Amino acid sequence: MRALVIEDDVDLREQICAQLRSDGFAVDATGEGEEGLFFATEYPIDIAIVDLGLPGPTGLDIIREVREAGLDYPILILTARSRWQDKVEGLETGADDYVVKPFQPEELTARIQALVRRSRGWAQPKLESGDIVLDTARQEVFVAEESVELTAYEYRVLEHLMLHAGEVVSKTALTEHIYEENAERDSNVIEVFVRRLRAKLDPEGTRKPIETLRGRGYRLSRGLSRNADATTGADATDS
Amino acid sequence: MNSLRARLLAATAVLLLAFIVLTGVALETAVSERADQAEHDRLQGLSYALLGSAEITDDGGFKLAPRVLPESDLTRPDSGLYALVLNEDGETVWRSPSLLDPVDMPSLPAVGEWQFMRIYPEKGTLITLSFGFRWVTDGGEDFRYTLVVAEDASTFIKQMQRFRGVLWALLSASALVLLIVELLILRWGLAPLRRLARNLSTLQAHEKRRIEGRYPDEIQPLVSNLNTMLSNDQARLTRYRNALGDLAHSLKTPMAVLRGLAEDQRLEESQRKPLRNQLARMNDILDYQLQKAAAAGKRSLTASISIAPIAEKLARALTKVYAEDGTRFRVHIDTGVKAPIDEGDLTELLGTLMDNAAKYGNGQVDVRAETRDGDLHMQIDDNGQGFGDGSTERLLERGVRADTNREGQGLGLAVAAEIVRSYTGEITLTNCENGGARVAIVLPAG
Repeated sequence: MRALVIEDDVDLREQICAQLRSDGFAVDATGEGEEGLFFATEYPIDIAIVDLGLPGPTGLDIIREVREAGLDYPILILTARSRWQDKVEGLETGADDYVVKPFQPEELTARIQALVRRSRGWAQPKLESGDIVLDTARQEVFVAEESVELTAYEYRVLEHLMLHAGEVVSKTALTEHIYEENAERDSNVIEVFVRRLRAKLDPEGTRKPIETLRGRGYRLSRGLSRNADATTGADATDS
Repeated sequence: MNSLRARLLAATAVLLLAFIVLTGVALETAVSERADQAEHDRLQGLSYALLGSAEITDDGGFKLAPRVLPESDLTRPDSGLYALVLNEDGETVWRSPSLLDPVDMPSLPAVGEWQFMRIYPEKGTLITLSFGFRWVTDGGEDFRYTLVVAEDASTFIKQMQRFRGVLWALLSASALVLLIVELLILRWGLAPLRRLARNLSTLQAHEKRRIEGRYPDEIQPLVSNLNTMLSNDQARLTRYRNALGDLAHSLKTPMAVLRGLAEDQRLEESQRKPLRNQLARMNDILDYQLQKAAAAGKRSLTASISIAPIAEKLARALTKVYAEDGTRFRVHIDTGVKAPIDEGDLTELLGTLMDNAAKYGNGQVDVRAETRDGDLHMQIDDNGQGFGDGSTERLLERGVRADTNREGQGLGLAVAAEIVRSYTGEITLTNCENGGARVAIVLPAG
């Protein structure tokens, strides 16, 4: 999950970035409108947090450009102006939600996660695929109701695969969505993450939740049919 | 007499009446004198003719043969034209055959003098011309006579009456025509003023806060100044709001940083809690004062705006914000509903109340607005638990919170109440039939 933060106040930007990273996001941040516009239109962003009162191109300009470029990832606006005219203008321009400064950090997290989920068509804060459950609010993963410990990167890979369940996700796409722009990248590491994930999610190697499609990428099965099996299986073990 | 048109019309009417009366009197006098003069001349001519053909006998008898009379009317009895000669004692010595009854002359002229006068015998009026003269016979005897020529005045009077009738009828007609023309001139001349008055009174029905159109040179400066004033007023409000927005931005970003620090786990909870509370208080005070300062309030000559588009815009925006809860915003407002209220104020008022309704409701917000007797009635309903008992008045007071778990509730209503108050309106908090909260607002027309 890759987030873009455009906020000109350094302290606030760093706070938001730290918070987002601890919430499992790969974060790109900038305080300048120009650069923000470049990031927003060129990077594979999953969500953008944009301050409306930016020097240079304003937050509204950036939102307009992003929407004109046909990009539809969710945008959350941060605004100090609590007047409805400003908020409505931002929402009409193409933003999806707003948070008025000063805000409670948990509120920001909740709004961001709700936006991301909604943009993927998930109605619940919990992502489910077969017997794998990923709670985005608490950043916890359960397999057959057993908690599984994942590293931050493993979590990001799984989250991305689950958000695109049933779709083929290339290694490049995975890399782009879990790493920040200036991070050291190595697509071979993805293979390591996937191998570790498989080991943690399916220690017996019976369910094979993540398929490898040679030369194309990975696919997490939606697991609809196996969902029923898993439930009965769980019932069986319980009883 | 409080209209320019009535004043001008009254003044013109008085002037016109005086002019017509004076003209009529002058014309009548002139014509009647002219007619008298003509009558005098005619009777004088007749007198000369009679004198020319008269004969005086030696014993002083006056003779005038009927066949030599200069006018045939003098011979026809009771024809209306008469002549008679009186002697020194006032006795009639001769009279024309037309004169049947004797005539009493109240006075007689001296010798060699003419006397023109009207006399009034038993019936009718006679215009008379008398001439006093002496006649010296060949025998050296001297007689004194008075020749009286008279004409019945009834024809003359009739003619004069007809003339008078025509004269006054024509004068009255022309006065009437002049008054109508004056009325039309006033209508035309004062049309720009009427247009200005109409534009001013309907300014509230227009979207633009500006008096349109070109006016005569006398009024144009007034119109231009008024327009400048209106646009300056609007520009000042915009500038003011921008400045307040900048102030909010420059204060609230640092506050956001502090708010973030208040969550720092390295700090003791006993330190974080007061930090959070104080920041919340600062924020409330700042919000309340900024909102209050930015409210335009009631201003004269405010253009009317449509309520529906603003409510719908807010509903669209809020639908996005409350997408997580799936809240439905329904706007039941006719497109024709308009009110002279500042767009920023209305957006603020409806935005605050609709947001509140969504926050406390259960997925359903209904917004209604209509104008009754020019007053704007608005109603925002939700389907939540409604307002608790007894606390509704307190909610409208500044900064009081009904539910401390949700930020901004008390403040939102206080801000809305402040805006409504700035329009001398009324805000009431009740519950609707389904038990949800209802905020009803009335903004008076004038």
